[in-house]
Amino acid sequence: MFHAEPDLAPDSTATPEMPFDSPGALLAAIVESSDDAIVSKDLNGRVTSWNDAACRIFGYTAKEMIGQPILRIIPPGLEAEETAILERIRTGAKVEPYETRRLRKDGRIVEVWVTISPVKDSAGRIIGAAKIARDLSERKRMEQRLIWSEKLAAQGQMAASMAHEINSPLESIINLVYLARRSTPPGEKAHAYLLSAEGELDRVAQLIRRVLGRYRELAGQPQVYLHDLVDEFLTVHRPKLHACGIAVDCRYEDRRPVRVNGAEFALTFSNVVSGVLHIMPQGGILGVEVRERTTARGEGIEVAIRMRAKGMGDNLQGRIFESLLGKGSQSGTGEGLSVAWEWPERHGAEIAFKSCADSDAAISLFVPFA
Amino acid sequence: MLEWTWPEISQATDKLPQSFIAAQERKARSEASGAECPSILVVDDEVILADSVAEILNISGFCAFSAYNASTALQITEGLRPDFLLSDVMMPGMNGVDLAIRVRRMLPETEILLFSGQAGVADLLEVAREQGYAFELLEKPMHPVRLIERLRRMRRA
Repeated sequence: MFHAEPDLAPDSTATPEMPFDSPGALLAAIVESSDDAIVSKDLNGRVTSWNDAACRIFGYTAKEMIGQPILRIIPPGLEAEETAILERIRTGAKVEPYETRRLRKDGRIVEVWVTISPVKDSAGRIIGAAKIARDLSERKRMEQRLIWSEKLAAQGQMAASMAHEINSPLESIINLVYLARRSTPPGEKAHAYLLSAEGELDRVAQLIRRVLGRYRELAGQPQVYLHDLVDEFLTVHRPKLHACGIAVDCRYEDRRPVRVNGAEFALTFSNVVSGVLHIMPQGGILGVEVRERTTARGEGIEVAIRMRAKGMGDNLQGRIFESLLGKGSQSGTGEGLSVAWEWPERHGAEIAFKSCADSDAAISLFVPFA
Repeated sequence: MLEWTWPEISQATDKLPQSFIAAQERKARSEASGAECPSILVVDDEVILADSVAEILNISGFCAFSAYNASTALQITEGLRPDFLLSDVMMPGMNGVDLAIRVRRMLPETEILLFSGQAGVADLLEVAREQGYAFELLEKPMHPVRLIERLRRMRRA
């Protein structure tokens, strides 16, 4: 059985190498300083000890848990797991380590890796069980992130090869539309339609050029002002945003250029903005602020994108995240999203999602000067 | 039993385009009248692309011909001796860079432009450069107006 409090009182007779007066106290100190939750329970499933890491991982203090049934941290539906564990422990058998879920005090589920062994008293009788639980949340998040980035990279490559295939038919269409316009008298409606079609085709061509820009990237990146790139993008896309009922509010306060691949930045920005369009079907306000900032990554320029959606419920943040990652939604266009993740990584830049009020969401693109 | 003979593939692909005769006649007429009409051969395995570029150039003061593969293009080049060659790079059979090298050897006066929307073209151009042949590469898609401007600038230079 473990003590909840380690005995740290200095012993005048102890040598500096052995600051504890008994092996039990040393063991208790090790348990308390462990990163893994180490808890014990009796054969009725009542908690008998609870270390600091258990407080961190499950949210309950030792005071709240000792004497309470361990079922408090078993999520609904997994109660049978606990019964089976206790039965096995009573027979003296060890429970092989396994991955499972536990319920935190705040109601959230935590993924854990648990090892359970029987605890015996000095006479060798089984009096309970010791459980070591390792918090897997961080590892799970990393795994998820890896799966996403691999998915996005694959989508990016597919989009790039598709872009190559599209170039020839696109050139044919541009030519045919041009020929059709040249054969139509300027006063006719068809002439105006064809003129608009040519403009739209030019936009498609620009987009594909940007997509492929990554692969044809020239060595050495020029110094650019991020507000120029943002402004160029918004100039082309303001009519579309306007048509979607989205008002744009820009503030440019950056006075120093950064070294960045313009096409890649524009694509990242453009994908963030198209993500915005998808989660704001009823319109709203899009605020774009470009300013100098100092973060953990040093000095640089931040492009802060804020959204206030009209007629949306809560979790706008979660929705924009999903929209940008193409997760569980139709809005994800792989190539740009892949860039959205790869680009910051390759340039020491950073893309971050900030939590805001329910109907607001913010994304920050940070590019350091160095 | 129904008997069916597959047509020879070479018959289909090596056939001279319909526009060829017409363009040849037009070139002859313009030469006879003394009006300047630069001749240009457009090569692309995408038939619609080759023909639409040729048609645009024909209404823009050029005498344009199209070919859908490099070997046909070589035949036409020998007979026509065009002022310009505008060729796609990635084509089945002989690629555009090899075609350009042959035309450069045969007709050093002919201006050559390559155009491509594909990756991997840079390597082919680098190989040609190592052999002493440098070619300009245009990116597909290119708006016809920009293409015409480019050709006229080259003509004046």
